[in-house]
This record gives sequence, C-alpha cells and structure tokens, in this order.
Amino acid sequence: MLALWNKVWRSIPRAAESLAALLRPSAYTCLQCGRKDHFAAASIPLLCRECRDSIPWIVRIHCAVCGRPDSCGDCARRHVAAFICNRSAVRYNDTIRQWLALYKYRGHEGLEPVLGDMLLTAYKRLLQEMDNRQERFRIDAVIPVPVSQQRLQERGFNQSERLAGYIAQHDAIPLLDILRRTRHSGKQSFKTRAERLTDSRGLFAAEETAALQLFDLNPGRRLRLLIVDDIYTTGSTVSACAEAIREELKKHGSAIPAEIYSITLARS
Amino acid sequence: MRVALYVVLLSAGSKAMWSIAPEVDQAYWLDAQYRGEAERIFRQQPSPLAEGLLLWPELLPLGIAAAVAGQWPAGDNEPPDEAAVRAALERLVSDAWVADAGGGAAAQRAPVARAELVRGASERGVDREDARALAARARRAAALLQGRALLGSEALALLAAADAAGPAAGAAQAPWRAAAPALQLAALLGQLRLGGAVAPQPQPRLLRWPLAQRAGSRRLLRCQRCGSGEARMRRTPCAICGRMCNYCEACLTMGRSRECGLLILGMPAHRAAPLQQAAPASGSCSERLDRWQLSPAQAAAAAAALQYIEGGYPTKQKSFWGRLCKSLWGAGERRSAAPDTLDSARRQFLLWAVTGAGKTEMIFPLLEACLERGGRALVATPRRDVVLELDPRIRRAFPRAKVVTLYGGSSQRWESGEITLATTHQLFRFREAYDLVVIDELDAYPYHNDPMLHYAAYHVCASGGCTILLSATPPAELRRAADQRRLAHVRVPVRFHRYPLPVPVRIRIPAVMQLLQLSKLPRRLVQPLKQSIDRGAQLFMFVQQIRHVGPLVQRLRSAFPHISIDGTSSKDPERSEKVVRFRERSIRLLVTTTILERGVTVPRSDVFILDADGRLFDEASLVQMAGRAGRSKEDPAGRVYFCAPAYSRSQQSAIRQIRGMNKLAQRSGYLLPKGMQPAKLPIEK
Repeated sequence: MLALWNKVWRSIPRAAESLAALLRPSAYTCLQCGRKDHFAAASIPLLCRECRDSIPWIVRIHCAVCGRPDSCGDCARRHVAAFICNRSAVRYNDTIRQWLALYKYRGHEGLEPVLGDMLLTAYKRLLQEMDNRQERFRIDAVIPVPVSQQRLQERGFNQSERLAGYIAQHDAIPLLDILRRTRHSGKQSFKTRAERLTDSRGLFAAEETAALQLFDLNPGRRLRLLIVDDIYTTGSTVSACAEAIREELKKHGSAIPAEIYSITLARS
Repeated sequence: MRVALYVVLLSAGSKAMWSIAPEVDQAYWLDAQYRGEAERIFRQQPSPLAEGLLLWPELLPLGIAAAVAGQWPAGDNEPPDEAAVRAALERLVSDAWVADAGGGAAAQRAPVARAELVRGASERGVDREDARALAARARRAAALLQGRALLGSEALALLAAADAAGPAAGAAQAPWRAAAPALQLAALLGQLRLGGAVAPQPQPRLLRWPLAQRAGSRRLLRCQRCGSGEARMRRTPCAICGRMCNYCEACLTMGRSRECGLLILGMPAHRAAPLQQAAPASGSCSERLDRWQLSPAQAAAAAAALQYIEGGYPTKQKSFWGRLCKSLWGAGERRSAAPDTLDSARRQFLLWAVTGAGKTEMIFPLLEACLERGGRALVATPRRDVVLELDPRIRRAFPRAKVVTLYGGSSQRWESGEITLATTHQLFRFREAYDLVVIDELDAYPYHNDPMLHYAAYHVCASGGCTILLSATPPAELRRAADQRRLAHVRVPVRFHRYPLPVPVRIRIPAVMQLLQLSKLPRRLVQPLKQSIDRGAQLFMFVQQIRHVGPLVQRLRSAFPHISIDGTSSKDPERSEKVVRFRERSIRLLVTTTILERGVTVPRSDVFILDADGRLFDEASLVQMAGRAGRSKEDPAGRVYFCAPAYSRSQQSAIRQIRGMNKLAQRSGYLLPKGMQPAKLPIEK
C-alpha cells in the first residue's frame, strides 16, 4: 500500500511537468536570427529550422588524430603529440564564425545552450568511438582552456569553461579549471600558422594548488582527461595545454599514466 | 566592475556614495586645497568639506554598491553618529547581498567587514600641480562627453580619440585606470553622471516604502541605455564583478550593457539661444525659404514647420512620444523631473509628405534655422544606405557647418558637429544632445514597433528642443493624434513635380499560389503587363513570399520571352546589383518582396502588387509600393495595380489615402493646371 502511495506521489512532479509542456507555447524566437518559428522535436532546440540546417556538422572524420573532415598535414608532420585525439562538432565556416563572434565578442550569452549542445554531440561521438575500441570508456575530468586575466575582465566569462560545463554537467564529471595562461598573448585569430605554433609554446601552466585535485581523482586505471576549447586550428593550444598537464603530473612524480583527449566546438 | 563604497560624514547628515577612483574621492572630501583647485578650474562655488569618510574595506560589485547608495536613508540634518552610520552601512551592504541572492532564505551573506574611518586626507598629501592637472582633464572629459550616453569602454574610446584619456593612455596597460580619476572628479563636481548600465528602475514614491521593508525583494531592472525591461535581461555569472549579473539582450549590437558596467551620461548640451527666442537674423520666413527653391507645397510645409519650431504654435498637450514612452514604461522615468514638464518641453511636429514629395529638401530650411541660433541638429534615418546617400547632399547644402555621419563602422564615431546624420541605432549614444531632431521614415523597419528605438529618439532631444517626424505613411496612432489636433502637423499632398499621385487600379486574379499552378497566366494580368511593357516602362512586381519569387520569374519569362525578367529578395546576395541593372533598364521586370518597398526611385516605372490582400501588405506598405510609380517629372503618371482575389480593408484604405491626398492637393491648388497635365492614358480593367 505504502509502495503504491509512494509511486503515485513520485509521479506527480512528472505529470505536472508534462502538463506544463502542453501549456507551453510551441513557437519560440530563434536565438540566432530572432525569427519566430515552431520548434518541433529537434536535435538542437532554440534555433529555427533554417539556422539549424546551416550548422556545418562534421559527419565523416578523415584525420583520426585531429578529427578533421579532410586530410591533415599538421598531424602527419607532428611526431609526438601530447594528446591522443581531438574531435570537433562542426567545421569553422562563416556561419560558425559569426555565431562564435556573437557569443564571445558581443557577449550574447543566450547562445550558450546552443553551442553547448553542439559541443555535446561531439563529446557523445567521441565516447561512442572510444567505446568501440575499449571497454567502458569514461572521462575522469574536464579541463577548459583558460583565457588571460585581461581577457576575462573584458569579456566577463571564459567561453571554454562555460562550454566545458555542459559536458561536465551531462555526465557528472568534475570540471577542473587548473590551467593558467603564463602570459597574455594577442588574439589567436590575428596570427599566422607559424606564429601560433611558436607563440603557444609554454603558454600554459597548471596552477599548483588547483592541480592537486587531479590526484584526488584516482580512477584506478589510466587517468583520462578531456581538454575543451572553442576552436581547433593548428592544435597548438590543445598541445600546449596537454603538455602543461603532463608536466604537472610529472612534477609530482605521479605514477598514474594519463590519456589526454580534446573536444572543440569547431575545426577550421 | 567593482567599485569602492563609502559614507561621507558631513557636518549635517551623511550620504553613501560609490567611486571608480576612491583616492580622488578621499582628496575631494577631505583636502581643502585639492577641493579649492578643482572648484576653481570648474568655476564652481565652494562647498563644505566632510568631517570624515567611512570606507568599506573591500571593492563591491557596482550593482551592490549602487543599491546601498540608493537606499541610504535621507537622514536629518544633525551631525551623524559614527556608530549608527557604521551599523547602517553594514546592514545595507548585507541586505544588498541578500537581495541579490534572491528570496533571502538560503542567501549567503557576505562576511560582515568593519568599515574604516578616515578623518584626514591621505598622508602623502596631494600635490597642487597634480590636482590642477587632474581637474583640467576632468573638465575636458566633461566637455567631450556632453550630451552623450556611453558605456565605459565607449567613453574610453571617445577620450582616447580626443587624446584626453589620461597620462598613460598610449600604453597598452589598463587605460581605464588612467581615465577613471578624471571621470570620477567630474562626477563629484556634478559635471557627469555615472551609473550602472543596467540598474533598478526608480520606483514611484508610494511603492518605495513597502519595497524597502522587504529586505529580500529584488527591484525590477531596466537597461538605462535602451529602456528595455526585465523581459530582455539575461542573468549570467560574471567574472568581472564576481556575482550573477544581468545584461541587456535588446541593445547587444551596440555593445553589451550590463549591471556591473558603467553608463556615463554627460550633461545636457546647452544652447547658445533657445530656438523659440529672438527673431531670425536674416529676413522674413519666405525670404529664408527662397534660397532652397522649393515647390509651393514644400515651401508651405517648411514654413509651417519653421513657425512651429520657432514657437508659433505653443501646444499644451502632452506629446506623442511622452505618451508612448509613458505607456510603454510606466511612470518610472529616468529623470527626477516631473514627466509632464518633460513632455511639454520636448515638442513634436509631424511632416506628413506623400511619397516622392521631396522630404529632404524640406528639412534644409529647418536645419538652417537651427544652426543660425547656434543649435545642434540631428537627422536620423533607419537605414545605412540612406545615411550615405544623404551625406553628400547635406554637406553640399551646408558647406560651412561641420557634418558628422554616424553608422555602424563610421570613422567619425567619436566626433561631434553641428549637424549629425545617423542611423537610428546610433541615437543610443546620445542623451539630451540636440535642439532639432529630424526622424525620417519613422514607420519603417527597424524603427516601427520597436520601443527601444522610440525610447532612444525620445531621450536624444534636449529639453526645449523640437522633434520633426517625417513620414509618407504615419502609423495610425500618429494620424489619430494629428486629426485630433494633439500633434502639430502639416501635410504635403503633392509630389515635387506637381502631378497627382497615381491611383491604384484593382485587378481580380487568383492568389499567386494558384496562379503558379494554372497552365496560363490570366488575361486580366497579361493585358496590363503587356501595355506597360509596350509603353517602355520598368515594371516592379511585388509578392509576399520569397519562395514565390523564383517560380513566378520562370512563368513570366515564358510568357514574355522578349524582355529580361529577374527576381530578388532579402536572401539574394546580388540584390544591389540587380537594382542597379533594373535602374539601367537592362532588367525590365523585377519580381521582389517588400525590401524594395521604399527608398528606391526608378524613373518611368509601373507597379504590380500581387496578393495585395495578403497579411504582410498593410496600408502603409501598399501606399509605399504604389509610391514607386510616376516619381519622375518625365513620366509622372505611372500605373499601379492591386492584383488580388479579394478587396481587403488595407487596399481600400490605401486607395482612400491616395485619393484623399490628391483631393487635398487639388483643393490647395498645388497641382499643375489641367492643361499642363499629360492626357490620362486609357486603362483597361
């Protein structure tokens, strides 16, 4: 009797939620273009059909390392990589450039759920891919790429940290903001390829006290870490971050071997 | 950003204030010499120093500090008791944090810190020279920011452009820190107003008391720049101030306005002489108008507007803008002045001129009148291309005046001049700055139905200034106000060439959807199309939906293979090239959506409006589209057809409006005498 009562009692919030869903208006304003549209069941809610269709999803991966949909010179040239692989959700085309500019530079934080959802698809695909290779693949911690203090003061938020939050929340993984920028380098988007590669060397360092959190994870197997950023261009940023993490692990004489993966929103 | 909070202990009473450069405040309140220098440079009367300052030990988010300063009890005029003031400060700060967390139940309280009492000026002593230099910079900054409403970063850019940002401005490191002392000093002396860009709406006095009783209640926020309310706010964690902080989504394209960001308001620009005062320097009204070579109708309208600007028609009624703003935002106006006095101070005049009447020429004498009195004038139009087209015309008409052209990405962004030409969005960056404001096409996108831009237009006009509203199709509310004589207005019922407006002819044909399924286009449509083509006209064909453009172009091409036909819409990247080709007659028939409804002048053109009964074509839109025909002197009798299965109310009232204007023109004697008009062409139904 009590069990039945409990069952009924517990179903009330769910019933209320579905009732509320019935009452909710079916037309929303598209977050991107501001047009009103009907948002039926869709993979990416909050966008109108047209904006949804304009997302340049990466469907087939060509380069197994960086997740690029075309063949990739950078990865062929690189001998040792500090990270295992990168996966990106979309190609970095004009549409995505505009969206990211709107989010990062204009500060349209309303777009965040959309970008977060896009990032999540890449994350889920990485899990699927890895599950095929190994048993029960699970990430132990999500680490966002930091922005400099000055940029943070201008912008008010770190886009990588915010986006990483979506992955952390989705799978209840700890989000460890342990990296810092050692110096303020100008905007990556203003630099050439060679400049980026030399510039990002030693650009990041782990923060000692914060990095101790890494040792609390102790999964009893290889430590799997996931670096999150918004754009992957030459891979130098992700590489530098991965190196900084490895350095920190080595410094503490940790015996735990680490696998470092990376998820980025866009692959240019 | 985070700011310093402190309480000034005066000999009578106390007040809480916040500061972006606390060292300036400390010297200002406690150092007699420093104060003397500053007041001398600003030519102000000396004011009393403080007994002491009670400084809050940590920097607080702007929103919190402003809330405390706003809620500080007005107090009696007795010497403040230090312990009581300290207690009040601690209580208000912790209340503000609680209110911020919302609800108050599970609110985390900030650690209650002890405020520090400062009695004397800082030990190191303020150098006289430094004080003088800072005051001079503050004065310069206040002058540069006059009439502006800028976000912190924008103000910085303006000061940097004028080379007044501060000693270390050239260097990359923290230019803000260099500019802050001058801004803070100017604010202390009442020459600038600093505030949060998103801030609580001032409540009517009656409501304030119960609100103050509930410590946990959060007051409703409003964007102080664009006037948007809570509905357009988004609350996000903010790394700049370290709390959940709101920003305004409505005016995001103009830079982010947020709760912990500054909005810097300059003082209202003062005029050399009020517009209404004093007889004009140069001759009578008609003499002044002669120079502009206006048609009789234009001249009459310009004279009426001129008379109104100069105080010919004092209106006691509340202005349209005032009423609109009041209805949209309730009583909580930004200024503490009673809204009624505000409304009567900002006067409106509607210049209702038919399409092709030559509105731009009519505003020239008004601008001239404003400049003659040393006033500043603003012309705002909705679209950037119109601004760019207007720019050379205005510069040619006023070669001696400094003209500033503002639009997104304009190089003159931080300049100011006697005549400003701007897109409507730029108005957010000004506050009570202009004596004459001309708003063109106020019924057009994006201005129409956008309360934000109405708010901007309302606040850009200086008190005592005048706003001229220009439109060929004013919205119903304005027309009603004009009819009921609540709004001063003048109608220009005739085009500059003095021929009547072409009256639309109805053709009953099926809707475009069905038309595309028919095997042949109906004869009733083909016949007039053929006539128009044969008479050598350029044909506009308006449709409602972008998806109809392509198929319709195909159908028309097969029906009229010997002429070139093309289509365009807002989605078409080659839009502007196609319009140019249409103008050059290499395209003869252009199928288009409402994007070409206004602003396009193509000589010798006829207009076909398909689906004229559709939802997207309202009266204004129909009148505008009809206004594309017969605009040139050479071919004043263009043809206009409303093609639709039904005769809708919009079509009816559009035709009535056009006929009404023609009748008015006839009655006023503006039309050319009958003999000079071209013989009416026979039009078959």
